[in-house]
Amino acid sequence: MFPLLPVILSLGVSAMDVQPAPYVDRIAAVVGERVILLSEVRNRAAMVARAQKLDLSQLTESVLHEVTERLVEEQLEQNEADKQKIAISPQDVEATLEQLAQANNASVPKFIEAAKGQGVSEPELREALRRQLLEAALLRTHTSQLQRIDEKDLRNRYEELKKSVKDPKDLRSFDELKPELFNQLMQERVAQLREDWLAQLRGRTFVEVRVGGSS
Amino acid sequence: MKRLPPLLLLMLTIVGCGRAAMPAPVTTLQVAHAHTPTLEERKAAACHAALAPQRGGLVASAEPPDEHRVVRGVQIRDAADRPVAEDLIPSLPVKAGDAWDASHGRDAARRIWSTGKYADVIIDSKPDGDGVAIVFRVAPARTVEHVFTVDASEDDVQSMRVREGATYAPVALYSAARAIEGSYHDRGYLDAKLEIGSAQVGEGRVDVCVAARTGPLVTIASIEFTGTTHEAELRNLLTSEDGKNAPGGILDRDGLDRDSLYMAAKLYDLGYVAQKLAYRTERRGDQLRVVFDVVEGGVYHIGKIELRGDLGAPKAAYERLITFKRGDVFNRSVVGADLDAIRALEKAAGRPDVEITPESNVDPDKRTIDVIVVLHDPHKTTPSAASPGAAAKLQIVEVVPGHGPQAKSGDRVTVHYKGTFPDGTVFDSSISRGQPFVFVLGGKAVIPGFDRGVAGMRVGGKRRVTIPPDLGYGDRGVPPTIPPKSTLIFELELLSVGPP
Repeated sequence: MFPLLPVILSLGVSAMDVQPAPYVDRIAAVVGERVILLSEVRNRAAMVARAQKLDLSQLTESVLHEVTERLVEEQLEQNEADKQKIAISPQDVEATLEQLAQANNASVPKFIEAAKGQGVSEPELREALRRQLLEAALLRTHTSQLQRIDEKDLRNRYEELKKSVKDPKDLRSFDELKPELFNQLMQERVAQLREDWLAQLRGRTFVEVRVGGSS
Repeated sequence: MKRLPPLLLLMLTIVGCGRAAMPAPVTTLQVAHAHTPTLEERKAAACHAALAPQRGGLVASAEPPDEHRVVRGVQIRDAADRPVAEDLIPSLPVKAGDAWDASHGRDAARRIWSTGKYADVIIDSKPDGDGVAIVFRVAPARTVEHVFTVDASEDDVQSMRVREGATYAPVALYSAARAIEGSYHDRGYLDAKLEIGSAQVGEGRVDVCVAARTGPLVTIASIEFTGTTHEAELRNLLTSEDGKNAPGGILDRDGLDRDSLYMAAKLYDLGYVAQKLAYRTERRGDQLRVVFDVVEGGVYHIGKIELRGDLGAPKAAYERLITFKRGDVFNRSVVGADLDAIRALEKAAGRPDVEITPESNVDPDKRTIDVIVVLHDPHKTTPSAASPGAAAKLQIVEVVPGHGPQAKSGDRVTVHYKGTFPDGTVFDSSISRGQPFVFVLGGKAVIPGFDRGVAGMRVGGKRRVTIPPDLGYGDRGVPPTIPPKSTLIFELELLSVGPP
């Protein structure tokens, strides 16, 4: 008996269908004129794994998909920031780091140590802060689209809250809860603004994900 | 990347039908030619494959070189292992003799990608003595073999610059497709969509499909107004160029935005100081209903009228130019025209630099608006009440420098602000209202100190501005909120800068 030799090769097979030889790095995604390298996806995935005290190989496909999608979003934002000439300086990052440390009743070195304990190195922490500040700066240019929160919105939210608690008498008064309700609504509106804006960016940018999580 | 084998196939008969059957022994080699797809089959392949993300799993890669290993050589090679783009190598951040650095490797890959000549870049490495040789393997940008179209016009395809024999540039194609879609939307085809598909047909060659779907022409069924007793006057301000923004015509949002401003101005001239006006569209099938929602907010009358500041002429000369009087229905155009007359007077008196700022105190309960005309001669200094004998100056502290576009006179700027007195008491804050403040810089819409405090800021920047009384609300103040002769401190954040 001859051994089975399943060899079928044909014209027109996409290069992506052929299992590539091992390589050091390659393009994982194209976002407009820029590319994301696979090592960046792996580094971010490794950070997520460390934070969850897992090995990289233990991460699920959906987590890897989310990591890739997040990198694509960050590149979309960076492309937009470059177009609008918006940049975040190291001094801005330092000031934010100081504020965060203070909010956690810690010094900056202690805060950085704590981040390391959660698997986030200092350069990764500073880069994460830079990205957050950049996103906030970009979103601020769209705040005119934020719907104003008025008394009616706060009352409606309060009524929803009353319905969700077992005994409405346990709920604090509307006036007492007003600042919290305002913050909650504002956060939701900012999150929605962010989602809508990212969808717009994505709609007008060529995005091709080549590797890094299945669809 | 591995080179695909040549044309001839080697097909070995392997497995028969059904899982239960034992595979027949292989006794012959069968040589067959591949099926050459027809043009129709190629069109189907290209037109059904969108420029959609194609995903693979997180493919295992080789172990990257140790970051202490010395790079012994850098090459760029194609799939056939031929050296290419050797002139690019010196500009790459990965250099022979340096220690390997993964981030430099990424930057180098980006640099090669940015030439636009390659469809893929892979970083490869192999040991070289005690170091490592780095090879950037590139796949050339593909060439367009054939362009198929589905309902796309010749003009659309031409404007996308996609043609047979040209380099296949998906990023540029995508941008061009979005621009063409936009032009369809501007012509009333609000559902228009341009899809680009591609299918590889050989090494380095790709068929492209441009598929257009225009959808129906969406036209305006009606333009309506709610909440106003002045519909006829507002409707009269609707402009319709080439039939746009009229029943039976197509929607032109820029035109409606412009007309909205004129409508708001009209309402101000009718005394509706607290008015709100916005339009919305409702779609049903291929028809649109445009609705202007108006909140008039009641008619306001003129309250007190005051002249203040650096009067270069006798008061009576200015009062003769003020045609509105206490009790009149507030009319913004009339107030504006009178202020222009005062400016002309100052210019004729040889004082062209005098700033004439209208301030107002609005009483929503009484529906009155006090008009205070403040003249400020920049060539004079007014002693501050806080430090008599000393010239009070505007103080600006740059708290956070912005990095975006810079605000200049004439720009429409959006800011968040918090106003406090020197003792820290807050008298006004857009932040607590959750509503940023929009105004035209240099348009005399705000107190001079606020205007000057914002001028020159960059988007994203924050300033602390201390405004002396003469650049604020002066001797009068804004009772009961702002006492007379108040120094004001504003914390400003510039959110955006746009055209007026």
